[in-house]
Amino acid sequence: MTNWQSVQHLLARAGFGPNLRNWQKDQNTSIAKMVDRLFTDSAAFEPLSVGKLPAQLSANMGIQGLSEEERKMLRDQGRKSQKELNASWVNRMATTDAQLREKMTLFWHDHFATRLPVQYFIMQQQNNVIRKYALGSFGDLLKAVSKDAAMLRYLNNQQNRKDSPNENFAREVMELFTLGRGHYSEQDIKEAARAFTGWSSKPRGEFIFRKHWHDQGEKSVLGQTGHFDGDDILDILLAQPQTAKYITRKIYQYFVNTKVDEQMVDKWSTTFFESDYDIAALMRTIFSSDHFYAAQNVGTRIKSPIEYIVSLMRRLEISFPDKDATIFMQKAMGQVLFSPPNVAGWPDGRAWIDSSSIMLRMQIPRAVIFSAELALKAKSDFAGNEDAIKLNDRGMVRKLKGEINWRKLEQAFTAGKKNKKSELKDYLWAKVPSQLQTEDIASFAQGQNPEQAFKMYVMRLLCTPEFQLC
Amino acid sequence: MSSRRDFLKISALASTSLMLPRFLQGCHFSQEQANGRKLVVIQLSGGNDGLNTIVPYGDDIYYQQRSGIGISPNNVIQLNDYQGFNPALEALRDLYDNGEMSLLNSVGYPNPNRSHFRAMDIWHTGSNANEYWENGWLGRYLDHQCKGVEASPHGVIEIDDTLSLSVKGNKTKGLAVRDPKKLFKATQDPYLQHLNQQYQSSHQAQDSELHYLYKTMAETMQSAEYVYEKSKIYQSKSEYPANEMGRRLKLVAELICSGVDTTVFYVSLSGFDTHVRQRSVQERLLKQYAEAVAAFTDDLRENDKFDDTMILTFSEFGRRVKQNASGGTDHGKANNLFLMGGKLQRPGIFNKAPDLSKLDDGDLQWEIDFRQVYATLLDDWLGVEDELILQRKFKKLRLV
Repeated sequence: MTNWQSVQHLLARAGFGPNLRNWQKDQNTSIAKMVDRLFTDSAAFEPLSVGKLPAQLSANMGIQGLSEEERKMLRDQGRKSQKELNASWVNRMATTDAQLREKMTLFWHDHFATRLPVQYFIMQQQNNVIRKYALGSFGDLLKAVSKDAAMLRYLNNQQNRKDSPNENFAREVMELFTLGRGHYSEQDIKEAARAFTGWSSKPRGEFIFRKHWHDQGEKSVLGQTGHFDGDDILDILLAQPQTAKYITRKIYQYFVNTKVDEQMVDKWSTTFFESDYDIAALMRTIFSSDHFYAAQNVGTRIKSPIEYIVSLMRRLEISFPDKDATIFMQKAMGQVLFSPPNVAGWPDGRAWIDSSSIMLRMQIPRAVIFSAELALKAKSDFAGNEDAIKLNDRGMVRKLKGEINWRKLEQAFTAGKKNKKSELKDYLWAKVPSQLQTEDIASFAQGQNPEQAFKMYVMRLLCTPEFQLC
Repeated sequence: MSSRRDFLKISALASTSLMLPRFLQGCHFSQEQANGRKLVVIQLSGGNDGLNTIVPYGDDIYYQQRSGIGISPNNVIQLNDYQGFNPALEALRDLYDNGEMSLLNSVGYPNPNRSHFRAMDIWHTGSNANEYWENGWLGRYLDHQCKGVEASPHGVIEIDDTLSLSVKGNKTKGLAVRDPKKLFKATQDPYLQHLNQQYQSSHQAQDSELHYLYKTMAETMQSAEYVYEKSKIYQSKSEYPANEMGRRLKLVAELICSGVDTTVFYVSLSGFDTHVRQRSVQERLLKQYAEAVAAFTDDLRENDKFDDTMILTFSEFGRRVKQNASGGTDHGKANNLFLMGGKLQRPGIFNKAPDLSKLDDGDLQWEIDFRQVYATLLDDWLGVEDELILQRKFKKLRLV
């Protein structure tokens, strides 16, 4: 593997792939230095914010105090802001130098999958909580997300009271967020649910502990007994090495390979546990290991729709004049930020690829580069109104034209370069065992002039199964 | 106009098919099991209000709870002395009278969920409410069709541009097609064809992700070609409503009548989330649905295919019994479900109407688990082992 292939592998997994500056400056930068830079560039936390809290929501009243008219306004504004939030996150992923922080935020966004349509400000708050702790201690992250309004609402902890416990959060925190199935009993869930009673949120999203809803009694969870509250339960879960193993395994599957090397996971999860769940240290260990760069782990990840969209934007430095363009692509490919299918998050890997999504991925680059129309009906939302009925009958034709600085792109591959075609391939593709020859691809990239041919060639490289991998 | 050029084109296609490697040789096992029978699933997305679809006009509670949106007894198409159709379902009256429709009341599952996404997920996968499965029940049907040999995607076809979870299996995923010609044209792109041939002439590791991507592309090309060729055989002469639902069911009829090698078709109609001003929205949708289905069943009957077809209609949940303040209804739980076909064992109203005086937190209680319906269709209609696909045993219903 060449140094560039290693650099590219690191940037594609720890972030969303290289950009032109990486191509021009980092061909010979050592992996050690690249890893250092990833962490330096992601050291600061910068929240993502698209707007203020809706003024209609008072501190204590919630929507109960609002008129029908005000509620409708709130819903409409919520939908609009949710789209803005989505688009601005995609944009940040594509342009920021804090690649690792955003990639980790995406990973945890999937891990702590939450969906609250309309309540964009609550989702924005959660997204920033995740972003803030994304590279910190997993214990801090777990506690912050568990006490954050989005999770409290999504998993019904607002309804969890001493006289009528709701087990939803207690179950998922064990099954999906910490231990994984098979490492706790139904009784553990029942008892833990009692400890979380009283954890709630105020209308504008602040955490509140409602003491009179809390069950003060004794609880027994995973072999320990005491007058536990929610924090105690999370500490008990964090004290289980199984939690470190479950998280490390999931990180391995996302960042290294869906096919797990159990020995590596055991080794890394032990260190993770001993480091008191230091996420940054774990990620540094992974990215610095020889194992991460071993042939079986390179070019073997199928990009999720978000990774696909962002890697396309980042590599070609695309911006979309139509700010709904990337949301449309997300819908069509089956992954919309802030809308995971359920609390287990998005199925990964091969689940992304079916007859329609593969064809779509082969057509999107043409639509983005040459403004070809993409006549497609993305599945409609569930809304029940006149607009929804009209949508049933109307094909959605979208122009996904992106703005690309072709001169800049071409210059990056001409100045003093011997083989433009093969270099472009090295820039756009991960190291994959492809049988395709550059001359072969180029024979499908004839243009009326060199500029046109260049664009065609770029498009051809993108319209391949090879480009789906990172 | 059939010309020499068309002939040449077809033979050229035929010859490429012969060159396809082993992973693309579909199996016909499902056809033998299903014995030519077809299942058509119609999904009403958004939570169709079952109580204003099959109206319990004989129950005072219904009118008390729905003073603004209840349908008066005079307008109901009475089926027995207690329940009747919403007048928007007029087009289905003949089907019902002919004994070609079964209505199942109070269908649901334990610990029902009132979120669209989660509820639809549960209906798509067939999981319990506290499980998260990554593949759909019809996708798993596709997985098991060929007993070890991989099936072609077009064993299960969704008439749409994107694929629902219900038709995604573990190994094989169904084919999404809304316009066979358009899909075929897209797969005929010379560059994609070239990539495909290049790949197939080389020898790749069979279990790599790259292989999976190429294989899915090749299967899509092959299925697209197959479906397009079939779609040209029979052009329906029946009148369908000029809307998307009509067009989609027309395509299903054309494919069935052409003798396509597909056992399951999947069609969705959206817009049923009627929180506000329900009557006008729901009734427009129900009318679209009923008229399209009536045209579809007429078409099949004329072509002697209706006896071999079963149509299942469901929605992810029903709605609350009490209407809300905006002339609509909010998310509820159990709901009714329809089966239509030329060969039903138990036409008419299958089980007793929901008891509006015994509610579960303001919602109808469930009585039949929807997976009992799935199990019945899989075993008694499609001839496959339901337990293998649903991963649990469910009591079957003697419906078909």
